[in-house]
Amino acid sequence: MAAKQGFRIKSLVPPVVVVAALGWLSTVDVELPDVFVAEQIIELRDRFYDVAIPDDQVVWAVGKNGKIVRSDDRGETFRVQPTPTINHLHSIAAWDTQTAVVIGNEGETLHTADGGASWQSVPAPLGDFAKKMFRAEIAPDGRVWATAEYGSILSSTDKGETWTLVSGGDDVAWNDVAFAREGRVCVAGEFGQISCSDDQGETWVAKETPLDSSLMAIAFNESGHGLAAGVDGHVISSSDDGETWVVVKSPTTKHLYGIAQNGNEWLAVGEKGALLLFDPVKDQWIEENLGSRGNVWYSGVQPGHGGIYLSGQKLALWKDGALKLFGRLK
Amino acid sequence: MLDKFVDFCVHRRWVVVGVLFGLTAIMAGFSTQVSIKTVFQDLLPVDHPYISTNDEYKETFGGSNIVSVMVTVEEGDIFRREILEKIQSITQAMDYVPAASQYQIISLASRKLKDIKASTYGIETEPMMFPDLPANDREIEELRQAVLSNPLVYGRYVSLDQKSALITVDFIDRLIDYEKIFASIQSIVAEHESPGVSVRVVGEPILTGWVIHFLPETLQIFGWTVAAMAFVLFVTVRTFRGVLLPLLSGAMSGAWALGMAALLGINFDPLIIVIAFLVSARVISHAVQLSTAFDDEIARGLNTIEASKASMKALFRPGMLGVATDTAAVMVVYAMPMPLLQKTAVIGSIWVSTIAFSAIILTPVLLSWVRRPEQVAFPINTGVFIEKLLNRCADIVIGKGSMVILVLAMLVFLVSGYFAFNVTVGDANPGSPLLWSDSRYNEDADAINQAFQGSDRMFVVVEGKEGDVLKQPSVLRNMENFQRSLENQPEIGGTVSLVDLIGPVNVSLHEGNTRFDEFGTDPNINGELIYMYLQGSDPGDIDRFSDVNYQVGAITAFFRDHKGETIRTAISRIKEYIANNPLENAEYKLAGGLIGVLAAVNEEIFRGQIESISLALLVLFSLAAFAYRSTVAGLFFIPLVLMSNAVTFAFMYWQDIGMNINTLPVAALGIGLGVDYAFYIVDGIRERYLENKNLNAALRGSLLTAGRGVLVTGATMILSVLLWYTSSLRFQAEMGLLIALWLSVSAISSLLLIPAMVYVFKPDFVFESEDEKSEGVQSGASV
Repeated sequence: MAAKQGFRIKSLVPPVVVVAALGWLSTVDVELPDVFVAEQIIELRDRFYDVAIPDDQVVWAVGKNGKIVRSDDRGETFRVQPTPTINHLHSIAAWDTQTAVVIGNEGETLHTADGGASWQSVPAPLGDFAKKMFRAEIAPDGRVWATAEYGSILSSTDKGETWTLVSGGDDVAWNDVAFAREGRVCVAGEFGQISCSDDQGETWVAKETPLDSSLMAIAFNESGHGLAAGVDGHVISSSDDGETWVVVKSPTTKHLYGIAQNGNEWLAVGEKGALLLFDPVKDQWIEENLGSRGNVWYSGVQPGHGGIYLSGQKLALWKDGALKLFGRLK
Repeated sequence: MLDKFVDFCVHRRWVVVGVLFGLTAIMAGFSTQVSIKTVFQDLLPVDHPYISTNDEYKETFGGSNIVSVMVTVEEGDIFRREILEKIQSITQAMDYVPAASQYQIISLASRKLKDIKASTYGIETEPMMFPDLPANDREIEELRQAVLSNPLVYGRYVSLDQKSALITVDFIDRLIDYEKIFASIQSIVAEHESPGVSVRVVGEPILTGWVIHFLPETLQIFGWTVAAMAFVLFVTVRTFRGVLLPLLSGAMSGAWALGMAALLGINFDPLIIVIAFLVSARVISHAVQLSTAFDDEIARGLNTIEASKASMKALFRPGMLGVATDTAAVMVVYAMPMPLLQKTAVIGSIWVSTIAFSAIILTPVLLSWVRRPEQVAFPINTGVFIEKLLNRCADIVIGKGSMVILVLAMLVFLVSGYFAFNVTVGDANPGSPLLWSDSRYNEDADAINQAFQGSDRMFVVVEGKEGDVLKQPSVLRNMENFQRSLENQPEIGGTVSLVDLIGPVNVSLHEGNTRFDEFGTDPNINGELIYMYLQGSDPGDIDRFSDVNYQVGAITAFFRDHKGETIRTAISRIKEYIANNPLENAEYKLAGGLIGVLAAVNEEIFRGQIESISLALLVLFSLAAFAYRSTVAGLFFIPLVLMSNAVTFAFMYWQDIGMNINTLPVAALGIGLGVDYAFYIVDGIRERYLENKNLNAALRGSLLTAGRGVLVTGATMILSVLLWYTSSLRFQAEMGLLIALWLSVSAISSLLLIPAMVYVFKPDFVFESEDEKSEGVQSGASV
């Protein structure tokens, strides 16, 4: 009797095991395998407001959400540099491949002396109202100048470690700064205004311009010839270190946001894929066609590496009539 | 008990046949009322959180039935009067498409797409091209400039190369009649296409429309399949009864199942026609088994009455076991939360269970009326070849060959098992897997996804705990980072939310200075910016971004494809983002739109796959163990099922067929599918062994009788099912291949693997009668 019962229990083992195993299997919650998507260095949503080309290899661009990217191989590969901020960064000025300053929203300034391996944040002394800084440029004497809203102009003599507010409080946003001969600093901004200082920012003298719409960019070349551009494609020029300005016939009505000098030529960029080349000697404009993929806005322009770097809604290199977009294409 | 039942059936054959035919007539009457249609809601898993989110918000944020129409010019760009007229005309025509949601028709010519202008009075927003077209070249150029400077339009509703424009329309789910929508939109397309201007359409309603469009062709193929089956049966069985009885069984089961469907109010999805064929194949295979068994009994010298009784008796157990296993395996699909699958499970299991009547009872009973059983109708004796082949199988499995078979089977199982795990859940390719890649629909889908950010959408809801949450900078920043993270995935062409609407207003407010393409640092500024955008516009114009209280908003992502992998990646990354970046005062809710819905379906399928297979195995184990009173019997058939599943999944992986809501029922039905052939073979071996105690003779005998049925039905089904490959629906073609493969694997393993396993393992349940077994218990216990 006992033996029989023992057998019965034993014979129940395999079915119970199978049923239990299959039953358990049917309730197993399967984990989906992990997925990996390579984080993109240059993302669809990135906006790079400015680009710097400190030597024949390096490309440095700054933009939205505190993002700084750098390439050491002419844009072949980029990497993101860690920054201590999420404020939008509007401009970069580099002395060389190691030393640079960056400015942006909320009075944010960053500086590096190690090629961007580390960025140190210093708040700009902007006062109570002004927060947004627009453009930083390095003067021939090595001093760096920055423009901001509410008439604010700042400068730094120690490569961005400390800043001095040299002017401020006016209801005008200074969008750009440039350097004429003999230490003259000029800023351009809203309402077609241009103001220049011959004493390192102690005093500022407003220059008369034929425009009342905003100027977004200004630049001078070594012979004292200056160019300023702004909304609706307006361009003005000066041949006397910014003293007097006249209207230049512009080929476009698109807003222009950035100007740079390329040898004897001028470069201007703006909205809707605007890239203009101006030859002042021939008084001739060329409007490049960047194609449908390049049909976005650009605020930064820098010649370099045999082409023209463009930064804005996309980061791109215009070279030999072809546009190379960095990062994700569409 | 069984003897009595069989005697009753054969002796009272008029009554039995009368009742069965009577019932068939009634059910056939009902079956005419079954509705063949696709019900969208049936595809969605009930109670899945994504589906709840979709249901709650689809009316405002765009559901899963959005149709995109793309107008493309070959030469020049769309900024020409006649092209803009077409865009306007299509947009207006969309109003009249049945079930179209009039508030969700968006294009250059709708009031939803606005130009934001700064003026001396502040910000003005006005529709791009509504209600009037640009009057002259200057206005057309102004329109172009407005488009180019508006990131909500340029790249989204006008392609970057300015050659294409998009019109999107959403539908009210509960009013959808796919056939009407398809017909209506196709006529709009035809009306607006002209030399140099193409009009392409993509979207779930159109896809379903195409499937319905091919319904007559599908039915035609079905007809040809039946004809092919009849022909192959006639050639192999050589008698009219051998052809007519299986087809009659098939028709009877079909009538009962469809009649029940009509009675239960279950609609018949056009894509499920494959299932109908799959089940009919089972019916016919059982009927052929009984026919062959009958022929064998006749050959052994019995008269028709005795032969019909003997065949019914002999095949009752394996037949019923097969039916029960199949029925239960199909029923397992009911555990899936999608109504379509539940309906398929109900109808499928009813259909399979009718085999008990239509084949296992009806076929032998009808055979009892055969007058001259020896006479053949087809002149060439194909039986010789069949016999030769089966004898060859017997030669292989008797002796050392059996080990070779086992080793080979093991190899096949391991290799296919390895690949089987890679089968994609969801769709394996871009475009719709229902149609061929060179179909008009898939070509259109491809063109639209090339020109724009992607036509398949997903929305993720941001649900605030109080009003105005969406104006909070921290919330906006979190949303923007979320979009940034989504856009890192290459298959996502872009995303849009309230964030993208605020920036451009701010830019306009600052003379077009793009450095102001950002939201404000405090909620009031953002409120003002949104208010400026809405000036002069209708309430509801902001609906697709946010509700009027700024409490609930959406982030919409545009997908270039809806591959299983793409969706899985997106969902997994979204979950990771949300876990790492909690919102203040609000939460993210997944996920609506087509991609959200598909994600829910795929998750359920992935979860359900292992569950269904293990449940089906459990059913198989229990039923086989019960039928043979042996746990070994329960385990014996499991390798076969695992094998046919592994091979099938490996084939799906190899052919890039994803496991989705359409293929799952076929795969699920296949789980139990292979096994009934094996039941017949094993039972044949057992009966013969118990009769003359000679294993080799029993093996050979079973292969020559039950094996003949297997070979005949296998060949019949495989040859006819290949006709499906001519279908315009890729889905049907692939399922045809899949079923053919399934049948081949189960036929081959029944003819070789199962006999080899019997030969090598000599399982008790095959060699011991029930009496011997109880004796064995006694003796085993006394040892």
